[in-house]
Amino acid sequence: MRPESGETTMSETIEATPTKATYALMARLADNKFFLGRRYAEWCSSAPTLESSVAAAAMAQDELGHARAIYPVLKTLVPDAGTETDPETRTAFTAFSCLDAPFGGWEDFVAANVLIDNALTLVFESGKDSRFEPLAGRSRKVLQEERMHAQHGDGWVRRMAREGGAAREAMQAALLRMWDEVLCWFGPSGANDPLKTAGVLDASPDELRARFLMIVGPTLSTVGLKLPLRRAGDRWESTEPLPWDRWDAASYRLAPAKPGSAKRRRKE
Amino acid sequence: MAASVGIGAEYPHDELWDALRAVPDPEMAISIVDMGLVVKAERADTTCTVTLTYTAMGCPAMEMIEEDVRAALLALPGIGEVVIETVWQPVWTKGRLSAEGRDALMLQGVAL
Repeated sequence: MRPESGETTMSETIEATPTKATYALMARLADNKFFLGRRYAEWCSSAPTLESSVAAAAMAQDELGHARAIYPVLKTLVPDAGTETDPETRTAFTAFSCLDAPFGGWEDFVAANVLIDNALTLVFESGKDSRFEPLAGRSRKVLQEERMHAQHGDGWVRRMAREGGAAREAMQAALLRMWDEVLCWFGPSGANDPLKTAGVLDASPDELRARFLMIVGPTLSTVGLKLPLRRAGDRWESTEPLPWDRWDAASYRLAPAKPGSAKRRRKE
Repeated sequence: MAASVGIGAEYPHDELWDALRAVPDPEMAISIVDMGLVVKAERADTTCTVTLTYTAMGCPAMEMIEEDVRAALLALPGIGEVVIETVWQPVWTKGRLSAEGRDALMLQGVAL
């Protein structure tokens, strides 16, 4: 049972969890929060409306704050990780490839808001009762702050889709560019997931993927955006196999599709 | 710890908490105690340990508040060291405002 005040009992919890997998999880959460915050911040004064510029600023501040709260945990997991536990000196970032460069347009912002932000939040939801107290202790606050992000993404993807024409096409293309990597990001399928087994998360990668599709599927389907997913009874599922041949388990991202491949043509 | 639901929390009165009542929240014109940012304040000999939470994880005023907390407590007789810890549980909500803090904010026109 966690202390009511939120005080950490790190020595107990770290010994009870697979440190390497937990470090990797916390690192990719921190890195993605850090880069998502930077990408959001670039739209603080140039979003389509004044309100969304203000929202971009608020969301950027939230994401950077979340990253700032997570990076120190890395030091407690691997004390000799040195400069890799500080975003200012870190070199081995594990963030989504679509966050490497500034967004090409507002549709990329919205796609990241809907897909990446929701995916990250889903992992915090999965960790809110984690046996790894530093994750549990931060998750509830993150979830509190992320509610507005989810509303913002949902509202804008509906608006872009209903706009029709070029806006709708750009929105769909942006979602497709990120789709495979986000679905793969929860991790490969397979039994004995160390994070679930150790109680760090309450779900396996496949279960997280299923939850994610349950979150984004209804909205994307309702507005008629064509993504490779379908409703199957009370669940949502991907209609195409994920490109695990391009998956890099170390960086937790996909290598670019080869020129001329079917997937690449679909997204161009 | 004081209650923190609905009608306004009540926080202790002792030398540490009263010293912290002199530390203003940089954005709201009430103290960090009335704002509900102080979770715990303990003294062991000459060392004081304060546990803080914030309204937002991206709060830009964290360092400023910590500096003010450190200065306020080091001004107390016999305190030689101040340790500040940040926690995100309990999650800050309006329920952590003290009754006095709620009244003050409402008089300032802040909707609660």
